[in-house]
Formats: sequence, C-alpha cells, structure tokens
Amino acid sequence: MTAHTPAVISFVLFAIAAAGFLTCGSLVRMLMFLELMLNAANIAFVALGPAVKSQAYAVLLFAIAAAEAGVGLALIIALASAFKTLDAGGIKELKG
Amino acid sequence: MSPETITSYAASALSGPLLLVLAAFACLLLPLFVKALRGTQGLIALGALVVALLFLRRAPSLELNLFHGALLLTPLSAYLWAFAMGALALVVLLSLSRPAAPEDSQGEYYFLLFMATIGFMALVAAGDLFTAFIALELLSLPVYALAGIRRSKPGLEASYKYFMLGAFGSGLTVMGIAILNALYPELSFAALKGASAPALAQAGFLLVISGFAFKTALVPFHMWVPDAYEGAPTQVSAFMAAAVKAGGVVVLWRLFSLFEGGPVLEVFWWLAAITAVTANLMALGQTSLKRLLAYSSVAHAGYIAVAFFGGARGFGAVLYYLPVYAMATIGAFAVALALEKDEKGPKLDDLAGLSKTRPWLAAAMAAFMFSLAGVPPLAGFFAKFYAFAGAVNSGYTGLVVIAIIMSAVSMYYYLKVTVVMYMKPAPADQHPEPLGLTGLVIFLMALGVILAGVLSRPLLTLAIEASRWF
Repeated sequence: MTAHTPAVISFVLFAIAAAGFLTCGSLVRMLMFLELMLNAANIAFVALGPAVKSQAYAVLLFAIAAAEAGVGLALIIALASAFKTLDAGGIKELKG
Repeated sequence: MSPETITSYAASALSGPLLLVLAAFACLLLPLFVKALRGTQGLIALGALVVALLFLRRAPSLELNLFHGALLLTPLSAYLWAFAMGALALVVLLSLSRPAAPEDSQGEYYFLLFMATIGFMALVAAGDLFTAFIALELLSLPVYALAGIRRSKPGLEASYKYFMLGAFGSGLTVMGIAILNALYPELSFAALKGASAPALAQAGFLLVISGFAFKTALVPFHMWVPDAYEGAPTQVSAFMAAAVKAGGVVVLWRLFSLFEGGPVLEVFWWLAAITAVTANLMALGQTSLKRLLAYSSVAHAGYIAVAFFGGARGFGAVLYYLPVYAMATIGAFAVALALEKDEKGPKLDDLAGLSKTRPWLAAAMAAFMFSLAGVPPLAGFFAKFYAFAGAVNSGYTGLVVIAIIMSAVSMYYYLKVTVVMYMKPAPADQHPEPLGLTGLVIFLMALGVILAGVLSRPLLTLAIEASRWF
C-alpha cells in the first residue's frame, strides 16, 4: 500500500461505476452505479485533498448522495407502479 | 462606502433569498395546518416573490465576500437574481392560471420551484467550485421531481431521463472537483484563474465542464432535453429552459474564462460548433411544439457558447442573451400551454388557423418565433448580433460562420410554425378556452421581446455593467 493506492482505487471505482451506468439497463442498477460514482469521488476527496477541508466536503457529499438516492428511489417507485417495469428500454412513452 | 452601508446592503440583498426560503416552507406546510389556506399556495408564492423583488436594489459597485468566499455578491449576482426571480414569477403566473400539479401536491410544487430558484441564486453567486456543485444539486434535484410531479407516464419518463443523465453529469462534476481539490486546495474561481494546469488538472476541468454541459444541454450532453421538455408539465419546461440553462451557462463561462487558450478552449470550440449544427438539424423534423422548442433551446445554448469566445465583451452579450432568450421561450411555452389538450403539448398542426381563431395569440407566437430565429428588430436579433460580433472580434470567424449558417437553417423550423398559424385553415370544431393569466404572461413576453429589441440600450447597458463583475 503506497500513498497512491487510495487515488488508484477511487479512479478505478469511478471508471467501473461510469461504465456500469452507461451499459446496464436496469434503473435500480443505474441508481446504484450513480451512488458508486459519488462514493468514488468521496474517496478522492478524502485521500487526495488537504486534511480538514476535504473531509468536510466529503460529509457534505454524503448528504447530497443521500438526497439524490432519495429522489431517485422515489422516482423508481413511481415508475414501477406506472409502467410495471424497471427496464430502461421498456419505458418509451415519448418519442426518441 | 462605509461599513454600515455595506452591512445594510448585504442584509437587504440576502433578505430576498431568505424570504424565498420562508415562502417555500409556507407553501409546503401552512396549508397542512390551516385548512382555509388550501389551494392558495400559488397566491402565497406570488406575494412572496413580489416582496422579494422589492428587496432588490441597485447593487453598489463592490464585491461582497460572504461566508469565507463561498458567496460573492456583486452587481452580476444582483442582475442574475433579478432574472431568476422574474422567470420564477412568470412560471408561478402560468401555474396559477393552469395548475401544473395535482390538487394535493400544490404545496410541494411551489416548494420545489422555490428551492430550485434558490439553488440558481446560490449557483450564480458561488465563489468556489464546491459551493457551485452544491448549488447545482439544489437547482437540479427539485427540477427532477417537478418534471414528474403529475405522476403520469410522460411526466415520469421525462423525470427519469432527466434524473439519470443529470445525476450522471453531477457525478462527473464532483469527480472533477475532487481531482481539482487535490491540486488546488483553494478551489475558488479566483485561485483557479492564475494556476498552471498540468494534465491531471485538465482532466479535472474537462470532467467539471462536461457535468455543467449536461445542465446547459450542449451536444453531446443533450439527449435528455427533448424527452424532458416534452413530458414535463409545460410550466416546468419553461422554467427548465429559462432558469436551469442560465445557471449552467454562468458556471461554464466562469470555467471558460479561466483559460487563455489550450485544449480546454478547443473542447469549448467543438462543443459550440457541434451543438449549433446538430440541434438545428434535429429540430427540422419535429412535429411536436414542445420538442421543437427543446431542440431550439439546445441550439441557443450553442450560440451562447459561441459568444463565450468574445471574451469579457462576449460575456456582456451572454448576459443580454439570457433574458432575451428566456422571454421568447417562456412566451412560446405559454402559447403551448394555452393550446395544449394533453400533457405532451400541442402538435404543430394544432396551431393551424390560429391567426383566424385567435389573431393576437398567433401574432405573439410569431413574435416569439421571429425573435428566436433572430429577425430584426426583435430582441433575438440583437442578442445574436452582439453574441457573434464579440467572437468575430476575437478572431473566431470560422466558428461564427458555422453559427450563422445554422441560424439560417433554424429559420426554416421557426417559420414553419408561423406558416402553419397563418396559411393553414383552421379545423372546424374550435372552442378556444379563455386565456386568463396565461394571456397576461404571453402579452408581457411579447412586449418584452419587442421592447428589448427596439430599445435594446437599457438592458444591454445593465448586462455590460454586470459582466464586469464576475
């Protein structure tokens, strides 16, 4: 474990999350990958930035990630009851 | 200026947003406890907005640094705050005349609208990147929910597409900020400005820029726009086109102005060019009015990105562009709202014969379309003229030529709307509903589009004054 390890973990996690988000078709998984992206950024904040300030940023980012998950889950529940599916391809009411 | 005057100015300047927060909670909570207030949320919202607008004074020429530089109050922020509250007031008027939300979620509707506006106000006043990110989330999260507030199929689909891509953009932004945070612990725009940018920092900047490009809807980050604008309640679409986009534009400009040249500016060049070309070509085939306006909004984001290349003068042009574009697009969405029979809004064919059945509505719509297309003497022409003139002066003639050619292409679809209204016969069974407050909004916007063009000087002077303070 070197000083670079957390940075590498964070970048790899971010890359996995972004790739996963773009390729998977299920809304719940997409939401999980979104959270993973934010967590990767959180690791980068804490591991790379100057001590106290970045940790404060990380705490704020937890709150934002939670708010985003809240909105996302509410939306997914509403979608599930309206469309009876959580497959991104199955929700096609609008053109395009 | 004496410290007392500055304190009183800060107190007065911050009272506006604080009042909006109070009003938001009043709209959300009061009707739950006081039965008599149910259904009056819109009026509470409108009243609070009028008072908040009264708090706006002419900002003194100084930069007021609040909360250790997290917020910077300048004439620029005052200008954009007035813009945001004005746009919000118009959207509230539209929602009063035709409710966007079901009866039992009126409170949430206004709460979310107000929260998004406060997010916008924090975003344009943000002094550092992390504050900008939090403000961006405060601006976006309520709008995701607003798009689907009716819980109908089109609304929910719009909401989910907007949410997924918007949140993905936020993820990119925050990762970029984390990288920049490692290299420039200050993170304030002022500290970033003089800094040398190694390769890792440029990667960080590009991530941040792509995140904000999602919000501003620059191609290739625009995929959500047509669906979100079409499926969302029309009042919310108007808010998205006017306010959310403007917030992204201001932060993109701050990022743009950090650089004198190099790869980041080249990325901006391509974003502007691709946006202007793609959006206008995609708009040509649209048959739904709201989708057409969505692509038009993407195209205008491209023109604004072209204006960035004019440097400081270009930013003055952008600040003039934003309200001019907002007036035309809110007006056009208001017309769509007046004519809509289902949630997806009117088709272009539904406008047939409008000049016979409702001549004034047709004339106003024609004014909006001509302003968006950039026909003199309407405001849209001057906005485009100043935007492109700055970029030409800085030597980006090639980019401006692309933008002007695509602007000529855009004439086709804007004129198509007018042709349908004036040349096609009206279907026989027409029962026009009374316009009510929607009519007032349409009238005000038509007046604004004409006046801001014929007498462009006052607004332009304000915009240029504000542009000196960023």
